Amino acid sequence: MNDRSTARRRYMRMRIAFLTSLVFGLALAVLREAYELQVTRAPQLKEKAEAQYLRDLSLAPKRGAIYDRDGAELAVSVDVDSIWANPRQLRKAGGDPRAIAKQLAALLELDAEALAERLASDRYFVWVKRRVSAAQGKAVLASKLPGISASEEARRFYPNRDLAAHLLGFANVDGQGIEGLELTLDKTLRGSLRKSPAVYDRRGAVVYSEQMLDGRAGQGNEVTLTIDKTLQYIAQHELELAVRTSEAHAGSVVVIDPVKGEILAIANYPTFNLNDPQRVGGAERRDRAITDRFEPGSTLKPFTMAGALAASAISPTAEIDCENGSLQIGEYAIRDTHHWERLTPAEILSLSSNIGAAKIGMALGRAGLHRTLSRFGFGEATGSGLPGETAGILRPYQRWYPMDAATIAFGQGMSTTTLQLVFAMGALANRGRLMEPLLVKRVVDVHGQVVEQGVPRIRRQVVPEHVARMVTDMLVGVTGEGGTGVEAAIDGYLVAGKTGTAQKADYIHGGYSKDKWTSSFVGFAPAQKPRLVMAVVIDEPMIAHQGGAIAAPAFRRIMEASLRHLGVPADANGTLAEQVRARRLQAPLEAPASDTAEAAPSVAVTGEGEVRVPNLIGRTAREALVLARRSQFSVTLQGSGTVSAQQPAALTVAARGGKLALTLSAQTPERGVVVAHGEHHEGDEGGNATTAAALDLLPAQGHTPANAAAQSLVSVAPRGGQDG
Amino acid sequence: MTGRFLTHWTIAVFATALAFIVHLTLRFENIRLGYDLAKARSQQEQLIEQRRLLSLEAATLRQVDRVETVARGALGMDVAPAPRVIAVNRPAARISGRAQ
Repeated sequence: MNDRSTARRRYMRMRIAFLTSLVFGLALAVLREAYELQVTRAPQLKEKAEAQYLRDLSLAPKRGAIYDRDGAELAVSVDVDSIWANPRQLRKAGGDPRAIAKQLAALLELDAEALAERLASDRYFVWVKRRVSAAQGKAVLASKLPGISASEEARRFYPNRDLAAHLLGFANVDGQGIEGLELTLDKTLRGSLRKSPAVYDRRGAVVYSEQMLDGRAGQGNEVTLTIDKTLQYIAQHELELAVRTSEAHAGSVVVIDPVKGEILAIANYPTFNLNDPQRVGGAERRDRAITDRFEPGSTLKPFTMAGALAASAISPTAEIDCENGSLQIGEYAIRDTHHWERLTPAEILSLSSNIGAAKIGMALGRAGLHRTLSRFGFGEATGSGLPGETAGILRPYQRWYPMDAATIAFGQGMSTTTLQLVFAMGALANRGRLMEPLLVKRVVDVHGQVVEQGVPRIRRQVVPEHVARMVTDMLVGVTGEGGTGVEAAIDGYLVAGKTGTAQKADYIHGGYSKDKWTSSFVGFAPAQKPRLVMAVVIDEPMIAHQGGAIAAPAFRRIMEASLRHLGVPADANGTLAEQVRARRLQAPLEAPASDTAEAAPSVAVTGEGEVRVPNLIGRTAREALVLARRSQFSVTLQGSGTVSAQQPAALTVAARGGKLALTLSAQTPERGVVVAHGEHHEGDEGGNATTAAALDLLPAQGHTPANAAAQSLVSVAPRGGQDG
Repeated sequence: MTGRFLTHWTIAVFATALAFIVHLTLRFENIRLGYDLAKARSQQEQLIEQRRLLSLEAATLRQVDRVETVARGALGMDVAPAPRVIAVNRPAARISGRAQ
């Protein structure tokens, strides 16, 4: 019994030991296999597994939007359906390519024959129609045709159709910029194709994983321009009216902020619908404001004048002999439309005398004139970065013909673009500072981070501030009564500007065309604190051709509406316009006095019939006369030069209408600095020698004390800045 | 001895089974959340796209020439003379249609 039970226990123990060994053996085998799978072969197995459930998810780039300065959409990309077919699958499903093509052609407005041919091919993929409308996409998918599918693609939309069409340009069907800013900023806007590993289940659905990128990762940046949508509309609308009413060939308008150099509007006519650019030809799509050169004509005179005043080649109070309307230089004659005898610089601008401008150009000398115009930006691209921008033509002065210094001074023999012209005028409006064009205000990435910020930059100080102010003062006279640009005057605002009427070059017969003109007006407002500078250029008007009749009214309408839009306050009763007219009538006495308006001491009335005597020491005779007259003094002058003594003394109280005795001496106040970088430039060939001879500047004639005094200021101001 | 061993064994088996169940539950929950997230993302992208479409439509309605036509034609409005325009602070630039 004992033996049997002992044997049984031993058997049990052995069984337990065997089973335990077996379990442990199996466990060890499992552990070993686990080690093999998890550690030894882990990398290869992981790769194999990922190949089964991970696939690259393509994130198609979406082109970034373009906004105006206030965030209004100018160009936006949205997803739309593109219809495609699998011809093999179509046939496999028993579909008839011809019948399906007919059905699709009706839905998508396609040619059924051509489509049937494509559907009958032996390919796996053919496009039926890309970027269809939402209704068309829905209709195609609802018809459930065999082998026909849709996928989403981004399409570029321009909600304002032709607004800023030339500036924005457009992108092609593959989202690549073709023209305008769409081309220039293509890299910024386009974004990049990104691929992100994504987990797919066996049905092909995407399961989120940490490796997945944000769906907008490859999206292009968004660009905010300096363009003001409303100003752009006003400019386009009025330009179209001006071109149509004058039966002109074309036209362009550019509006800028002179202080920041921001381009607020670039309008061209004819224009086109950005959503359907293929309908028009290259002529309609050309951005004329930056690609078309034209001879600026009289609109160049303010820059010649500014250069001459800065170089002290002329005095602001000079009276220039305008040869009674005809000036012979060698075998050529320069003519004015009216027979002026003598004109002041202010009158030369307001009456637009070619002879006066020619004489000023010759006084400045070839090198001086070339340097002046170069510094105003003529002959070089503005740096706007827009595709196709031309630099205009300003030949090196060494290659000028003898006549060129005279003709270029009034805008013939060189060429410019509307953009150059407006920025040059912007320099006069901005205290002599030429700004870099600013078109992109901000670039923002898809997460709202600013990646680029447009900053105003000064290109250079072209002329001293007081010269810019002086020329501005003269340009106000252009829009005053009797000026050539009176049509550009706006009630309630002081407008400074210049008209231009230039014959177009005749490239077939040589010389200038007799019936083709370019009419222009460039100016700014309000003149005392400029907010907007604008150039209007009308190409080949038929009804009339004077800049004052064609371009100036368009300027007025655009400027008036733009100032209203910007909330620039007008003078309450429109008295500014009256002041302009009054100022114009007094122009021979008042206009050119440098800094007079700014620096004039206020006339302090101390009691009835009494007035405080202004301080006139150091002022020129003309300035002193203007100021004394404001205080209602009767002036007597002695000597020439600047005021060295006055009786009664400055700031004392005297009877209104009393006598004021001024003694002038030969000391001359400091004149303006020569143009380039504030340095004096020597070697201006022909410089001083030509100045006196060419200008033929005469002392003012007359009998009044004012004119007698003005004799002392005689006009030929050599480069050193000597008056008289 | 045998009883204690069996108790421990049973506990170990249950613990392993429980751990396995927890692991599976978490894994399934993870996958379910992954589906939900993918769906939410897709919905978000659709909404952004929808917003972009709506902003495009709004921009079309805000075309300056259309506004002018409506103001002049339907509402009988006209441009005020310059002296009657009083400048007030301009509102901050709106950000319209921008998908943030």
